[in-house]
Amino acid sequence: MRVFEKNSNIFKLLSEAVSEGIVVVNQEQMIVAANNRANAMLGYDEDELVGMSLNSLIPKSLRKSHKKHVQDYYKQEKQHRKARGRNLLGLSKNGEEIPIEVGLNPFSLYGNTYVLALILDLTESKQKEKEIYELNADLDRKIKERTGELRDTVAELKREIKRRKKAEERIKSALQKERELNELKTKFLSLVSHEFKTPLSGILTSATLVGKYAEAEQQEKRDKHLKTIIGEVRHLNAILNDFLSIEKLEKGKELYTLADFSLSKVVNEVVYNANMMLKIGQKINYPSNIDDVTLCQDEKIVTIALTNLLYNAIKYSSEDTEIDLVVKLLKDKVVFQVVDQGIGIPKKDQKHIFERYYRAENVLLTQGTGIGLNIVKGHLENLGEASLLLAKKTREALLRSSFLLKSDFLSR
Amino acid sequence: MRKLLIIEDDTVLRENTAELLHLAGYEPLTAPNGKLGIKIAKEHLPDLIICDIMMPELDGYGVLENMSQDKATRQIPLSFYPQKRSKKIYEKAWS
Repeated sequence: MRVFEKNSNIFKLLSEAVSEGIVVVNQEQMIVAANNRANAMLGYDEDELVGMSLNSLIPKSLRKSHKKHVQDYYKQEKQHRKARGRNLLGLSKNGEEIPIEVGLNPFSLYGNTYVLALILDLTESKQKEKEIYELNADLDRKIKERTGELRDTVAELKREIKRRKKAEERIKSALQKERELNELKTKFLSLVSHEFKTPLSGILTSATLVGKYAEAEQQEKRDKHLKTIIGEVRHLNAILNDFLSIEKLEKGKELYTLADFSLSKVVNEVVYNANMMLKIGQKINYPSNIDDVTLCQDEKIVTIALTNLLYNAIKYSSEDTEIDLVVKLLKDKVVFQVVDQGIGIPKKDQKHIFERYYRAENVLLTQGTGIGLNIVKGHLENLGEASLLLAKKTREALLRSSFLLKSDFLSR
Repeated sequence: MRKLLIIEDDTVLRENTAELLHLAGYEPLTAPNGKLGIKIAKEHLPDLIICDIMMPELDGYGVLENMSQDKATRQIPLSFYPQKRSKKIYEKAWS
């Protein structure tokens, strides 16, 4: 102690220049010197610490373990003792525990061993650490929150993209359909206008001829030409009906109207019109089993289908041949069969015959649109399910219509 | 009386044309396709042939070709009445 008193000026000079607190203890763990920083840190007045036991700076709970540390410390080799930093708790004068870091530096002076403790107040840095930790935690939480929000946004965006892609596909397919329909109309119109020329020439010449037969006894000739005109007009009407039904075909089921109608009435009409088209010596054999049969179907489509098949039969068979229209009434469906003795469809063309505009090799030089069977097949496919459903209503009266297109007409 | 041959596959058009020509004082002959048309042309040697182009069996070009190969029928004028007007038809007819 005296030593430090003796040299206190030097000690003071040196120790006050250091930013850490300095406490020097002798071998008896007695404090022999402390600088102002250490005093301030621990709440003591100047020189108040000198002569106090080191224990008074150590919290009670730690004193026992500290004693052991001290013993261990002195057992160690000298060179290992230097500059060891430790995070500890110091006890201030008013009993507050202060977080400190202590570096111990033993030295000898005039034969006595001392330990110089450099004390660093960690209160502030602990506080900072705590703040940093809290800030970090806060940041972490915020990042998690934002990440979650981002994830939600990304998911929402993904859903949105999916939805838009779907909408785009829908629009694309609608556009495609519209284009196809447009193209179809254009093509069909050009086909139809060509198809119209021959019947129109027929009507024109027949009308001209009627005008030339002015005599009373020429009634038979007039009648013949009037019949021709009527037949040609019906033929043109059938082509137009095909055309008008295309839109229905493209748009699907919702445009069909199912209603009860008399089968014989429709067949009569169709056959009556077809009779106008017959070549010399041709004859249509009318089915005998259709009286009192009521069908629940789209009457127009049944008419279109039957008309198409009959006109084809007439067109593609020669004079003096018979055409059979057979109607088979099955349990839940009606089978319409048209059998002719005509040129038939070549085997290699049969698999394409329902394709739009397709015309078989053996009729390329005959006029025609190549659209009739395509339309008929499309309509019948669209109608299939709805008619099956209605078939259950009553047993005998309501029958499902189905056209047996694969009749003799194909298998020749 | 002038003999005319009408080669046309549409019955109504063929018969009506023949009837009109008959009323106009001509003697019309008719054939529903090119093949029969050539046969009748060689038999009766008409003064003029009125011929459709698009026909089954043998088309209008086939008739023209066949006619120009036979000395007896080479001089008979042949009139086409195409339903579709196109350059191609004129080029083919004149070649």
